[in-house]
Amino acid sequence: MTTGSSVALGSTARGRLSLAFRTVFLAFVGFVLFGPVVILAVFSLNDSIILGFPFKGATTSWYVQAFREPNIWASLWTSLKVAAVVTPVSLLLGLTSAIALTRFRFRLRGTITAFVALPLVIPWLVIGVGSLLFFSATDIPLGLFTIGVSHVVIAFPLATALLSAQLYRLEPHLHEAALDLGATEREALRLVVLPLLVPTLAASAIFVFSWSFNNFIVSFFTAGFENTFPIWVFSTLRRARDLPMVNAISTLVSVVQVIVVVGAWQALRRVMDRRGQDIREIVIGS
Amino acid sequence: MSDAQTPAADHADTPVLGTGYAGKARSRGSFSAFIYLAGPVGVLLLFFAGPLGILALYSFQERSRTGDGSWTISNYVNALRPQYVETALNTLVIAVLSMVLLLVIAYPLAYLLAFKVGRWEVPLLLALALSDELNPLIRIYAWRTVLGRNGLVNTVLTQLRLIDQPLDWLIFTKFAVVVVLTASWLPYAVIPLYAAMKTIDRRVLEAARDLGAGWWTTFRSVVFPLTAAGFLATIVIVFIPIISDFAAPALVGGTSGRMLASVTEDLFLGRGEWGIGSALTFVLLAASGLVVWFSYKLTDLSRLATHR
Amino acid sequence: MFFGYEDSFLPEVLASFTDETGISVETPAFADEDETEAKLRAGFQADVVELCSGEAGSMIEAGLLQPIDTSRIDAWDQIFPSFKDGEDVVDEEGNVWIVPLQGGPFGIVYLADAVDPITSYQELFFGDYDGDIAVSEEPVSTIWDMAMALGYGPEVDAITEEQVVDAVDALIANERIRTTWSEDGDLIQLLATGEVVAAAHATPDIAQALQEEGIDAVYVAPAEGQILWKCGHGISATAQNLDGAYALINHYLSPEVQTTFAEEYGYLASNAAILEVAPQELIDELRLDDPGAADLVTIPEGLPDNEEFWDDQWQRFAG
Repeated sequence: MTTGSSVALGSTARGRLSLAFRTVFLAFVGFVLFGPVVILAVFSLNDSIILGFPFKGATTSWYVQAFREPNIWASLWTSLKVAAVVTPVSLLLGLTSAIALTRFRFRLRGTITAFVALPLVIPWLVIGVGSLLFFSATDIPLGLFTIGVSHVVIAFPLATALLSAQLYRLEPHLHEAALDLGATEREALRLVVLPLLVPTLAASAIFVFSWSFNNFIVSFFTAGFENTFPIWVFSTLRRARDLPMVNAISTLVSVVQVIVVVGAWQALRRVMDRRGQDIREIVIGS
Repeated sequence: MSDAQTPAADHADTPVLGTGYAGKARSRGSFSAFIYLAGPVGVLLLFFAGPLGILALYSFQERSRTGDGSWTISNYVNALRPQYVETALNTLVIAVLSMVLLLVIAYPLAYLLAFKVGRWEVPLLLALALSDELNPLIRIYAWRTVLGRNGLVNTVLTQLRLIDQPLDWLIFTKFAVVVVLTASWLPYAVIPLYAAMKTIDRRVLEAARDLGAGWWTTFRSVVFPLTAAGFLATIVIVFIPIISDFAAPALVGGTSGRMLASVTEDLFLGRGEWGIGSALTFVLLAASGLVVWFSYKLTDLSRLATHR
Repeated sequence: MFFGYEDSFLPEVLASFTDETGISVETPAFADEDETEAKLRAGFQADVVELCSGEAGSMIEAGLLQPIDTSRIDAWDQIFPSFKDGEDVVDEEGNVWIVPLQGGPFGIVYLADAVDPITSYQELFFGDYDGDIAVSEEPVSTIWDMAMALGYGPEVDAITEEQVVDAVDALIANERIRTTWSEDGDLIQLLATGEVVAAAHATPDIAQALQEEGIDAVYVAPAEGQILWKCGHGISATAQNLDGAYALINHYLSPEVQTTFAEEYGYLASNAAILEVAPQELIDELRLDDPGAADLVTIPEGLPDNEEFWDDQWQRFAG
């Protein structure tokens, strides 16, 4: 991988022009992606129930109000519990399916590959409604289990996609060599393939956790007594005066998620630096 | 040139899930594969195929809400009534416009990320992934403060004296829906394109430049053919979420930006018409399948064309 | 075990219930009646279910609810008659399905500094003023509003299918409608940021919330009539803790709790005993003493029997 700085290339007038163009373009994209987030963060400190200009004065009262609302914490706790179970289960299913689909040759491989990819292209509303009907028909009571299992259905194929792409990129000889050197299939996986997959597993974990934690529509249909955080957000927006409080707590939750993800990424980078790998390989693998 | 193309061509044959490798793997029996697949496929058969199967069943039943009705295709006939077809066309226009806008932004962005930003590459990638962390519902409210009559864009344009009257078409129009959908799905569009770009050997680009190729020629005969797979992956990954989004159309689309997903949502939740809702969904899936297939053919053809 | 709208779960109300009875209440929130129905049909276990008059019919039909034993409702006789006469509250055989708790009117909210007073739906849709309006995203509500503006109704069941078609045509032709609003929070943003100058099917609470922000918003009861919604509690057919369910309903019906809801949201209360407990200014402000509001034309909220026809027509407008 070339990591040399090519920004410095712009030595000619044309280069400077394209550098300027690039900067403007990146700034524009940055605004599109983060402008709304920043605006909301600013309004979460605005002393008004209106998310709009003019700015009326700073207050932390929305945050204070959010901290006093017990339903927020209950719903955040539910979402956290669900995501904490969904993430490892999805990684396990993603890993086993990715290994099977990339390392073995068998009949129906193409069909099963397509089947595992299918949940990625079915609208979540459809999966949500279908799941509710299914749980109803099979007398499975709605609750944490039903939320969790539907999240696994939508999330593990994502892990499969990321992991199988990475498995495909990995040098097959390593695995083969291990087998030739007398390692059993299990040892080859555990000692050679899995360690090489750790970064991608970590990246998959971030994506899966975020999908589960932020999912609204599937949880909405499959939830029982427990509200998840996105469901709480949705049902609270009904109330006339609570938009700024919802905004404040959402901003806070996003900040925490960002801190956790950046922290995880930094840790991951340290691991990869030690191994002399480039962190971008995780994303390329996707 | 053909040397450099081989690995990428390999990728192009790889569907969304990379499976091209197994052919090279040591051939082993179906039995071990079965052990590995029992869990994932079992979960999908039960909790994914089950729900979809029930929906399919309901889409062919008369009184679907209780599921005790007689067989019928009236739900499909209903789903193809003029008012739904009109909404479907509206959806298609919005989705295709968003898709084009997405690719126009995502393609150069992926290119910049892959080749031009140097040490900023990883931080920018991380930022891209993180931009999706904010609650989507709340984020749409932010777009209102940007596009609204007294919003950011109008305020800035008025201050700069470029307009005297606030622009009304910025919000509660198709335009607003396209903008919000594009912004929401940009990260998901960039990642596969970036991954595809990364498989291009930098030396190929340099060679093209040394041979006097302009940027358009380089793009048309080198970059695009080599990233066709990423292009397709982007369309597959992003098109379906776009046509099934209903929060954005509802909050910024006004009465003109209504999309099929809003109708489906209304059929399922507002009206309890699960039969028509299911039928409409399967029609939608068939239509998106066509779009994906069409894109596949398109990327495939362009690849063949450059092989001449 | 208590399945209701998020705004019904006031923490202090639930806490005082648990203090009194030792029963802790689980409160899954729902977003609308249809979701409730879908969940209950799917076998979801709840004891108390929040229901609104005019919208519970299909649940009663499906046997999802059980009739209420009014002898176990302490204040049943003190409930205002105007609350008891709502659709689905008491059926023809005398079965009680809903214990009404709160209510309130739907009318017009406009910005007084942007437009001259609007007094009727007719003026709202066809009046001579500058500015756009927002209508409710609920098909029946908005078609009903327009039908009243055209002089039809005013009761929902008095509107014929031809009149529904007329009303939808008028909605399509109306160039003043800028968008549909979904939730109260949504409408407040629309009015406060000047996207629209008036809205149909809005509640007094919206005007009040805007006034607290220094925005001169006014609620009017439209001349054609204001629609009165009534919501309360029903008991699920499969309720496991029947004693707890009745205790919870009695708690919500107590004048103290009703006062809390009136103060918090500006809702009308169903229990006449509130007049002895609530502060006088609150009674005057919300007209708690007269929930039927005799000097205003008040129409009970309800859904038309041919709702499917209305929904189909609505597709022409919002398609």
